[in-house]
Amino acid sequence: MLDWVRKFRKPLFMVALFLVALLLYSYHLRHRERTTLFEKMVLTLTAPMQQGADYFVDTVAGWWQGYLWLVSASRENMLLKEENRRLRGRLQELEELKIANRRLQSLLQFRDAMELPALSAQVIAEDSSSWFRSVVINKGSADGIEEGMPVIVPEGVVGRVLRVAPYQSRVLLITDPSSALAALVQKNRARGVIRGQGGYLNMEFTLRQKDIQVGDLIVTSGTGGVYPKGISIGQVVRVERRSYGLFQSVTVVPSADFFRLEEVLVLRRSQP
Amino acid sequence: MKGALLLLAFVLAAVLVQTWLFPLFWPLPWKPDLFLVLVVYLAFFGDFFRGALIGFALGCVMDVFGGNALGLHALVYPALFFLLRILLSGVNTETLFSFYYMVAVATCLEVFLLVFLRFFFGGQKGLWGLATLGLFPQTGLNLLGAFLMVRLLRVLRRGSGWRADLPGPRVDELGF
Repeated sequence: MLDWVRKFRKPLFMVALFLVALLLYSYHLRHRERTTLFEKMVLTLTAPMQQGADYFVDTVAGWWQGYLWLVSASRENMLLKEENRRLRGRLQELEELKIANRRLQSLLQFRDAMELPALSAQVIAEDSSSWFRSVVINKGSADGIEEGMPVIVPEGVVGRVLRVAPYQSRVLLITDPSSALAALVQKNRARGVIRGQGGYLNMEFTLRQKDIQVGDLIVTSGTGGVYPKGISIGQVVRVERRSYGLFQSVTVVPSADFFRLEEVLVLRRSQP
Repeated sequence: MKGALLLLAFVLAAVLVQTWLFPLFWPLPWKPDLFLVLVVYLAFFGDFFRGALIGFALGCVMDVFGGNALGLHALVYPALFFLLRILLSGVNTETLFSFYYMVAVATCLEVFLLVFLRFFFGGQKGLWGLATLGLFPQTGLNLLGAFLMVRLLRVLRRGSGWRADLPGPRVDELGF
C-alpha cells in the first residue's frame, strides 16, 4: 500500500489539490457575497501599498512639473521659461481642479437627489485579471460598506460591492459576465435581465413582441433587492429579432464610462 | 529564505502592476498576467510539489484581487502547472523560445479553463466572445511580461547576493 502511494504520489497530490481548490471554488460560488478572513487579510495588508503608490505618483508628477522641467532650461531664457511653465502648470492645475470640481459637484447634487443615503468613494485599483471586470474603492467596512450594496455614478449604475475589507472594497461592475440585474425599457416598461459582456451589455428575456428601438433608455427595475428603481443602465444600440423564439436580443451600451471611473457613490441600505 | 522573499516581492510587484500601474497608462481592459508567467516558470524549473503549492497560493492571491469567487484561479493555476509539466516532458526546454512558446500555450489553456469553469460551475454565458476578442492581446501582453521577467532575472543573477538562491535554471547558460 505504502509503495503504491509512493509510486503514485504525484498524481495523488494533484488530485487532492484539485479537490481542495474545487471545493473552495464551489463553496465561494454559493456564498459569493461573503468576504473571507483570508481575503480581508490580504486586502488590508496591500491597501497601504496601493494607496502609497497613488500618493507616490502624485508626488513625483508634482515634482516633475515643478522642478525637473526647469533643469534643462538655458540660463538666458530661464526666467521667462520658468514663468511660462509655472503659469502653464498653474493653468493645468486649475483646469484639473475645475474638472474635478465639476465632477464632484455633479456627484454631490446627485447624492442629494438620491433618497437613499450614499457614501462617495474613489476608485484606486482595477481587477488583476483581464477576464473579469471589477474595481477597488477606498472605502470599506469601517465606513459602513457591506457586501451587495449598489454602486452608482451620476450617469448610471456601476455595479455592486462584492468584497469588503476594513478600508477598501471590491466592486463587481455590471459589464462583468457574471453580473446580472433586472431592468426595464424606460418608454414602454418592457422587462428583461441585463447581463455584462465585457465592454457592453445584453438585455435578455425581453419578449419579442415588445417594441424596442435603438436609442431607448434602459433603467433598473428595482426588483432583485440590490439596485433602486429607475437608475439609468444604458442605451440600446442594437435590436435583433429572429423569425422564431420567444425573446429578442438587445445590445446596450452602459451609461457609465467604465474607462474613466474615478469617483463613485455607494448606496447604503439604511441611515447609519 | 531569499528565494521566498524574492517570490513575495514578485507577487506584490505583480499585484501592483496588474491592479494599479498598468491600468494607469493602458486604457484597454487587458493586462499582463504575471502570475501565469510565474506558473510557467515554475513548471519549467521548479520542484513538482513546491511548484504546485505555490501555484495554488498564487491562485488564491489572484482571486482576492480579481474574479468573482475565491478558488477559481486557485484551481486553474495548479491545473496549468500540471498540464505544462506533462507538455514539457516532450519538449526541448533548453531554449528561450520554448519558454515563450509555453507562455503563449499557457495563456490559451488558461482562457479555455477559465471560460469552461465559469460556464460549467457558474452558469456564466457570453464568455467565449470576450475570450476570443481578448486572446490575442492577452497573449502579447503575457509574452511582454515573460520577456521583462527574463530580463529582471538576468539583472538579479548578475548581482552577487541573489545568485545562489535564485530558483530556476542557469539563465545565462541557457541563452536567457
